[in-house]
Amino acid sequence: MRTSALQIEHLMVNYEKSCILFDICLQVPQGQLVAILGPNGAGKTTFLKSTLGLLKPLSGKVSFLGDSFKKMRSQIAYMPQRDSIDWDFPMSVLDLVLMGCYGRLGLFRRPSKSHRAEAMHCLEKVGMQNYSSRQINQLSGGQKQRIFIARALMQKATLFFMDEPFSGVDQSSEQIIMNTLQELKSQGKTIFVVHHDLAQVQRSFDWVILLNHSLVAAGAVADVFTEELIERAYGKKQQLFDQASQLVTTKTQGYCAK
Amino acid sequence: MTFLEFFTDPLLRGPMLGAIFICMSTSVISVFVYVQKRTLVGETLSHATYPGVLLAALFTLLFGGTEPASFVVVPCAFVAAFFGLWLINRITRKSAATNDSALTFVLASFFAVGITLASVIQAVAPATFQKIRLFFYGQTASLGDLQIISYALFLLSIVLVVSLFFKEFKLLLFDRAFTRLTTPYFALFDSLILCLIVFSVVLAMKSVGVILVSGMLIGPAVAARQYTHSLVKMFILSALFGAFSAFFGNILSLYLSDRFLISLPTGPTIVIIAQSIALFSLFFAPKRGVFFRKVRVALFRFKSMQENLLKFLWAQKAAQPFSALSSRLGISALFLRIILWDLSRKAWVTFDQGYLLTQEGKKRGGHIVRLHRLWELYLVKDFHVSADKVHKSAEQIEHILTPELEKELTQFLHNPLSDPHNQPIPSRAEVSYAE
Repeated sequence: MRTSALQIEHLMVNYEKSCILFDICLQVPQGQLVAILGPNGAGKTTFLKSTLGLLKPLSGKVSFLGDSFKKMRSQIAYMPQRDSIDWDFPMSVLDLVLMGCYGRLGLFRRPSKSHRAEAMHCLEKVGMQNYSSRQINQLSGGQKQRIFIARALMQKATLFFMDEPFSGVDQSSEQIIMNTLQELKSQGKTIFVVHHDLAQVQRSFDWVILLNHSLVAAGAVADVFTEELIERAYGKKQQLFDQASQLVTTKTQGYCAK
Repeated sequence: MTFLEFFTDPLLRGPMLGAIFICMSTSVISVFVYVQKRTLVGETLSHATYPGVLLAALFTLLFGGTEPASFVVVPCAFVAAFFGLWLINRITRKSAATNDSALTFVLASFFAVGITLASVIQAVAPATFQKIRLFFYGQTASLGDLQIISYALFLLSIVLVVSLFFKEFKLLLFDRAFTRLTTPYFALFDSLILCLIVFSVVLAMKSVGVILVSGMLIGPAVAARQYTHSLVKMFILSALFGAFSAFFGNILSLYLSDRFLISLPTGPTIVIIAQSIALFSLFFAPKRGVFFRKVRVALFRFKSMQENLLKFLWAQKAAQPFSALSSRLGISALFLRIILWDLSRKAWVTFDQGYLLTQEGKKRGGHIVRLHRLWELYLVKDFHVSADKVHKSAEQIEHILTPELEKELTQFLHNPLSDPHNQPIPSRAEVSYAE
């Protein structure tokens, strides 16, 4: 059997004593387009960040293609949420894409002409080659997401982690991003995408990680998209549980309820 | 005094070259501070050195000295600054306080401790206090060859570090999370930036003073940012602004004391010049400055008015008197005169018992009408806006639509002949003109 793209054992994340992610165990096979799904505040971004070690989990073991993050660093591409970026930063679109190869280059070496050509090629893939010398702020929402996709492509990774690449994009951008992801998949890459759109996930994704603080389900789309599981992640029952658990934390920590 | 003498004269070269080198150094570092949006860090660290300097004076007194030596003051300032840094980190991590409140807390409390110490020393040993004061406000005149060399070395090492690790710094400044994932030595570069800030604050003590160095850690970068979208250029510009401020700060204070017997302290003068450059740039930078934005708005308004006039004349059969134009456009007589002067200069409008369009003017006026009516049709046809509500939007867009958009609209609407109000749309051939 091939090693899993991602294996997580007992991942727990707390933030100021309240539990964000509770005891998550899962395995994802290689070559899948994986959606990380769940209602607002369910801990999707936290899941992504703690998996990559950007947030320190309370406990848990994560392995990428059977190895630790440190060993697999060069095989992992990451795309942050659009809002977390300082768009006024003095930098051109091409510069941003070139950042994708910095990890490969290591210390001291600089991007060469061939890297520039490569970056242009990545921009072409997302239809942004005509914008290469623009300041990054002079782009629309969808275009901003596309240049970040180009940077991720530039990383030449096997595993891709993308935080909401579809948020705030226009239709044509959405199509371009989706095509790019499909192409990556056809090359055997595994792509993890934090997503909101249930319908699109059902249509175009292979695998789903359904979260609501704890793992509701993880598996092939057909197995996870059942009424019962979706209801458990999004429905009334879950809300009641959430409220109760929040009350527990406020009471036991002696905070005043708002 | 010749220009070269500023750099060779044994008395003048210390303040001049020393100030230029240290100001260039702080200006390069100011780019880090500015792009990371951590301007408060410079401010806080400079205030954090304050009690350190005073402790140095206290030690000197305790050991029987009167004049605090640099080799005592500088290490003490370092320790104080790093202690401040450690405290900021500690507070942000261990409490619910935000980074900003931790910074202000450290700034205020260290400064308060400093002032308390200062008043003690002033009471006990006024002579020592006079000496130590120089470190707060700087005394550029006291810079000698030793400072030239040490500042030059500092500048050199900063330039070396920044150019060697440019891509790492760029990545770190822009996208921390991404840097953590891709760069194994992430934390090292992060601390390196903070160390550079501390070093520049402490080293700049003798030239511009601990308090004012925070100005040099903001101004040059703010100014540089207004002129460029590239980080490399920003570093270079910022360093140039720093050098410029140092040079003219020196010249100005020398000149004023020479000619008018006004003795301006050089350090503060340098800072004032640097901040003035920043302020000037915020207003007058060609692309980002407020002033030229207003100018562009005014130019657009002027062009719109001209086009409105052309449009009006286009629709008239007879020549129009000045009063008719004035009441139609509703602008001041002077403004209208200027517009008409410009239009006749371009030979689009002539005067023959009233104003009328030339052949060229007719094309221009017809073109505006064409854009107006195309837009109206587009809104009605594709957005289902009712025909009586589209005029206002078209009044604005007619001045804005580019030839490319016009072409697209024409194709999109299948080269239409009349607008929603059944008015004819002038054809492209009829109104096309050479630019």
